[in-house]
Amino acid sequence: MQSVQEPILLLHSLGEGHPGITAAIAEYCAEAASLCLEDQGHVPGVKMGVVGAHALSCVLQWKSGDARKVLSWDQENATECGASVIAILVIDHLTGFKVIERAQKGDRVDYWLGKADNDDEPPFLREGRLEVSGIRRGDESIVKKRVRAKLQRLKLSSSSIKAFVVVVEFGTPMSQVQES
Amino acid sequence: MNAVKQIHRHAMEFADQAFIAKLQGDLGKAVELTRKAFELECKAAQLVTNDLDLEPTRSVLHRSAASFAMNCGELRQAERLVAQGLAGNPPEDIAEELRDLLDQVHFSRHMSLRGLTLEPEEFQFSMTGDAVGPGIANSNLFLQRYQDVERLVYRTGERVRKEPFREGGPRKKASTGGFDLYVTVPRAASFAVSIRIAVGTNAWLDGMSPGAQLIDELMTCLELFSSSDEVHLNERIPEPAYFRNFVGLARKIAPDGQQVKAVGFTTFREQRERRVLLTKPAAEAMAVPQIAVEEEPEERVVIRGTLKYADALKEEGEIRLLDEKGGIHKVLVPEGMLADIVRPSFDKAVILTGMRRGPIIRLLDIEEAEE
Repeated sequence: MQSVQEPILLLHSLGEGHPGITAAIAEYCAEAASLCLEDQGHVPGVKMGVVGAHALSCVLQWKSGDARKVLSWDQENATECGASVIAILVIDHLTGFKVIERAQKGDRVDYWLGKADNDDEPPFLREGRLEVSGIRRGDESIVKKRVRAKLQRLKLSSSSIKAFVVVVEFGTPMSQVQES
Repeated sequence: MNAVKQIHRHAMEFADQAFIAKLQGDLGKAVELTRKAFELECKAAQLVTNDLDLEPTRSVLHRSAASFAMNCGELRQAERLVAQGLAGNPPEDIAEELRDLLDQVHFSRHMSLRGLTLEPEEFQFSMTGDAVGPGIANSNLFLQRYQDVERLVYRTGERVRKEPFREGGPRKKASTGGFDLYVTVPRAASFAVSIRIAVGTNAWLDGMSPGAQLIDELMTCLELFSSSDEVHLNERIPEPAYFRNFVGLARKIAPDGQQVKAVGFTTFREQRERRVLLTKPAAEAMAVPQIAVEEEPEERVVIRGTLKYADALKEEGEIRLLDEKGGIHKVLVPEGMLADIVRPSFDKAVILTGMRRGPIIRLLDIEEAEE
């Protein structure tokens, strides 16, 4: 039987095809993700399972790191920024949604999603919302609890646009995706 | 459309660079880059301002420009941009964001002193949200926060005087430098009061007014808490008990995201206002640091119940929680949390978060639950 090829998520490709992600933030977040993964003993090519509303097994690839960067990152920011890269790439792969806008403080989500940007069309047509959270190392119950907390937070929003919650855990690594 | 998109993308590049600069602790650069983002986004918004049907582009650009304006302190510009955005036909969710932003603009205006004179030993404490109106606020929500602000001031006084952390017992006036707190009548500015630190004869620092120094220290620490800068806050408050106590109290003062949406502190120094704004709900704010543990694995637990027992005599404080099914849980409280964070919730319904190892839970966080 022929095996199904696992998709490869290139962490350093985040800047491509997402109109709401600039090159600067893409590079910064990709560096954070590689730091979080390497900090947990992973090397490029590690497999990651996606569970929840969508199931997927994929391979994470990144440009291997520079040890000095470990010192320059605040751990909490690194985890959140690193989780963002993986979450955006996972949702892009599963749904085709792209980030069209980074949410402002108080929006109760982290990113607004839409379909691929066409230069002739007006931007910002919001078709999805993305809420991301990162956990450096934790078991399944911690991941589930974080997902529940994020879904709870989304209830405070008045928006009826479809929302995705992605919690990324770097220790395994694994991602849990839920829709609201 | 392409011109608008290009200008917007340039604005976003500056905004993202500002975001990175802020994460790297370079606040000066972050402000400079945000201003560039504001100027460009303003330009993009003005290009579409007369095209009322170009939605959601029109309202998103106005909202985005207004948000940058606010971050640059250009409150009047922010107000104007929000009004322009609302004057079109924004989709409901973006209209709601514009209204939220307007609330923030108004709250920032209320945080400003507007002719009110604050002495160096005074600061203004203000809050806004669904349970707060002009000059009126839910008394529980206000009083709880006011009392926690008081605790924070007294603890800061004890810390700056290098007193060992007082885990229990009454506060000794001398250990804070002999000061008392005074509060003004509330003002109709969202809801604001001025708090004065009146120092007695036993002043404890030479030169500058000790009350003013204490307030400056408090503002700096709140600023670091607000920006989730745990590293620098910990450098400033290296003693673990004081650090846990500060973070625990600041979390209690922080907004809940709905009834209280923002909490502000304002001082006046050298003809300039200094403001610290807490907007992150407590649940998302900096966490109370956990004591490092080893050996057996722990399980994170969240229990709803009533606090019924406390023992402050042991090295590590101990409380008992009666859960809704009648079960009793023994909870150890790390140093720095019993007197100010836990004790105000005795005999009240609470939601307790902790790490369980065997029969014992070690407290991480506690918040009062709605009855």
